[in-house]
Amino acid sequence: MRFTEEQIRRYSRHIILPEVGGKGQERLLASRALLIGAGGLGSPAAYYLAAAGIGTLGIVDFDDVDLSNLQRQILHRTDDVGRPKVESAREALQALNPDVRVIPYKEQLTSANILELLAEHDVVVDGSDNFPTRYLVNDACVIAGKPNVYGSVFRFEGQVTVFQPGQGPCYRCLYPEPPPPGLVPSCQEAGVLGVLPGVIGLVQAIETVKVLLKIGEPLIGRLLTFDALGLRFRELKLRRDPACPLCGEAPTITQLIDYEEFCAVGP
Amino acid sequence: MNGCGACLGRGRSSAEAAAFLLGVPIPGRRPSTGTMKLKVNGESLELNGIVTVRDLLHSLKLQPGRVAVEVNLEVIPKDRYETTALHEGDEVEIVSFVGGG
Repeated sequence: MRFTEEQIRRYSRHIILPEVGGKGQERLLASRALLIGAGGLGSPAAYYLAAAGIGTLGIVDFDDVDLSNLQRQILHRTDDVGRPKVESAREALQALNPDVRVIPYKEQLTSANILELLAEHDVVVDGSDNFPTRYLVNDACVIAGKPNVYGSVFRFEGQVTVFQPGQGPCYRCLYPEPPPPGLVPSCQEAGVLGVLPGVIGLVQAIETVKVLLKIGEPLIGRLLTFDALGLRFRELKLRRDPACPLCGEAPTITQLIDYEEFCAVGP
Repeated sequence: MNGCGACLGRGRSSAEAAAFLLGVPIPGRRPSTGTMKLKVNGESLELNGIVTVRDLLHSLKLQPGRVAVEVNLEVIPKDRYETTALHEGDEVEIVSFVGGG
């Protein structure tokens, strides 16, 4: 691939980094990331991934923009209220960087479509807002062997890690089963500090770029937790669990599960 | 249940209390050595009357269904919280389920 003059200028601060360089930038432009959700986490992650020149960004989100989203979901604007999130996301991202091809998927992610979507992408950025989707994404990534850059937020707390099948644990090594229905409130029910998903979503974006470029030490086997009120990061070592029901030695989960949506998950 | 440090000694029969004071194992329970030093999420804690993971969660007022627990890097399955004994110096990590986006 040959860069245009404009691309050389646009990506010059990447190209002069020895760890990225022209080769790395080419690789990013040829890469395909699948964002699960264009919400609090997906917005900042997608913005920076587009700016960084990730060539293809698939975005899965079934929701329309709601006024209550705008406190944190920076891809969408006041005028977008009522429009599909994937549409306002596409507009915002392509206005930022026309090099990026944004593929909108306004659909519910289920066991019926997820593997097909994964097959067309190199890395997954999980910014979903409910446990059924998180387990589905985890299980599908393990089955398909795709890295899952995981982030989640709740009130003032965030978590982020990279699940790389074959190299580290999966989500089920830590949490083998979803929490009992209704036990863990959603952000809609319990609130979230608007800036918090910015921090976590951007750590996800950093990890996504590192995974694509194969540089540095990705958060594989390490869960980074962030406490916004105390302004503290902590790191928890995660090990692959040989008894994991999904990626362990004698897996009991061998096909995808569509858990029921057990609590109201709002826009 | 001898869950929280503050209520240690209460709710026991006098025989149990005596057995406890003498360090005699109470049938069906593991002997407690009284105070135990644990590292919980990186912080040193000195706790009373903690025998199992379940006791620890109880004394920290955490609901077992909302957290994952690692003891010395080993994730403890929920159905073993009551049977997994903690020992002096164990490093425990407790993380909450966080699912929002």
